[in-house]
Amino acid sequence: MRNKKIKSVIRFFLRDRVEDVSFMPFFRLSIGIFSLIHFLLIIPDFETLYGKDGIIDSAIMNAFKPKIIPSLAQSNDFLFGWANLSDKVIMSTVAVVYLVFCMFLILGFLTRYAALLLIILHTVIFRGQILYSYGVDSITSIALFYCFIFPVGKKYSLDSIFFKQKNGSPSPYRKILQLHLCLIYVSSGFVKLMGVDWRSGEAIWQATHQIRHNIFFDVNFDVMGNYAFLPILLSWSTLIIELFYPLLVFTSRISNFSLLLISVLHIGIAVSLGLYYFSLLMIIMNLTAFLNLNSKYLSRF
Amino acid sequence: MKKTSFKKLTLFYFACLHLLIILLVVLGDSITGFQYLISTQKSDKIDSNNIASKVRRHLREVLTLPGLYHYTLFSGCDAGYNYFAPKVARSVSLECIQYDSENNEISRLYYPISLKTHEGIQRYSVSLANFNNAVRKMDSARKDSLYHFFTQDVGIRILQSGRTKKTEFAELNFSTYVYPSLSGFKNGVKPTLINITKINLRETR
Repeated sequence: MRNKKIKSVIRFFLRDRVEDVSFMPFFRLSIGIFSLIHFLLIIPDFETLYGKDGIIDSAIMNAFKPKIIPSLAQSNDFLFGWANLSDKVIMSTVAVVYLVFCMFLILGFLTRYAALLLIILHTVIFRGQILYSYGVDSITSIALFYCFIFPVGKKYSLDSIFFKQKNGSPSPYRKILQLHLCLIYVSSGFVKLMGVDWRSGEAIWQATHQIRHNIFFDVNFDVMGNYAFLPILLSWSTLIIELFYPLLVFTSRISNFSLLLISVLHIGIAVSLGLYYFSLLMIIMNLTAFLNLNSKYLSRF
Repeated sequence: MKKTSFKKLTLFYFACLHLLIILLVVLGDSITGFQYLISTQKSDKIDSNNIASKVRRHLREVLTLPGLYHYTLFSGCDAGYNYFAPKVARSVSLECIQYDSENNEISRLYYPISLKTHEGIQRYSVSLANFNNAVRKMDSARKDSLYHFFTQDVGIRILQSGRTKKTEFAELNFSTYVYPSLSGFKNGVKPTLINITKINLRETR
């Protein structure tokens, strides 16, 4: 009996599905392009934030990061200390290397090595300076790890031209990403549900009234104070979407509507909290994981 | 019946292990949320809180085992996902007020104006919040000196980025921003800044 159950779980995990057919190239391209654009947008402030004479003193920064991860300054001293190069030159080199590997990932050239080096660089830059780090960095880290583990360079890539490789089924790999997202949303929803502020709508009210500098959309959320049902409604909508995420995305009849709903939630986060790149990345992750990527299906739109 | 290949089975067991590790990480977050729920309720549930603490401690011990810890760091799985939960943390600000020789206020800066991009300013704001969250958990003696050191160090850099010719001295304020609750807002309560550290920089030149 137990054996049968295990077999059915394995079958569920390994089952080939036609909607997963373009998962690998879609994932590689979307994460590669996102990482490239996101990094390009940080470059004007790269030295000001992450350089040796950055805004936050390295002694403070190093006190909070995991000891095992070297900071960018420590890595640069280790690698380029002998060369006596200026911080500007080193920072420019690091930025160029990061961008080149993003391009490698997009083109699918030496894909696995590019993903591995991007993980290392990403970890050193963003996790090594942990105080500047937020949700987008954790999710990028996860996505790059999957680009390293999954055979994302086997289709529509330079690797597939230069090194003839056998294409395997993308379905089990996509299932890992899908289940990971389910864990993220359900756990996030559960912890929110434990907070009295989320159940009363106060959390939405407070979140939309935090200090923000230089935001694209300056929306005045004070109007919610006159319609008390609005923050409660938004709060419970968030809780329901997060808690019932697996049900929403795995029910094939409503999965497209669910993806739209989840995207709206993230657009809301972008507009109200100013977390544009985090929201964009989460939308990309959701579409990559759950959108029907069968070309015949996509051609209908 | 077709036999499952060794490669596919290996992938399946890797997925099980990987997802189990993520489950352990998010379980830690869930316990934190559960403890928060207990702490906000007045009923006598000390025992369940103790059990939750023990479970969380054991989970942390497991997740910091050599090998497993390195794997979670490398794969990005060590990050929790309890964004804005169970409670939305108050935002913080580091204000740099510049004065001229006659004590007149010249300007107020809230971030280094050398930052050019939205993402740069976003990361700077995140760093203030992350710093405040981390320091709040420390013992008070260390806390005070860290707040002072941080405010002075970052404040000077803000000042350097936007100092005017008239600036004679400056005041640095590291504060928590308290926005009134929904009911408070209806009753006309105004937002306030609760000061954590205040530093006067007499010599700015």
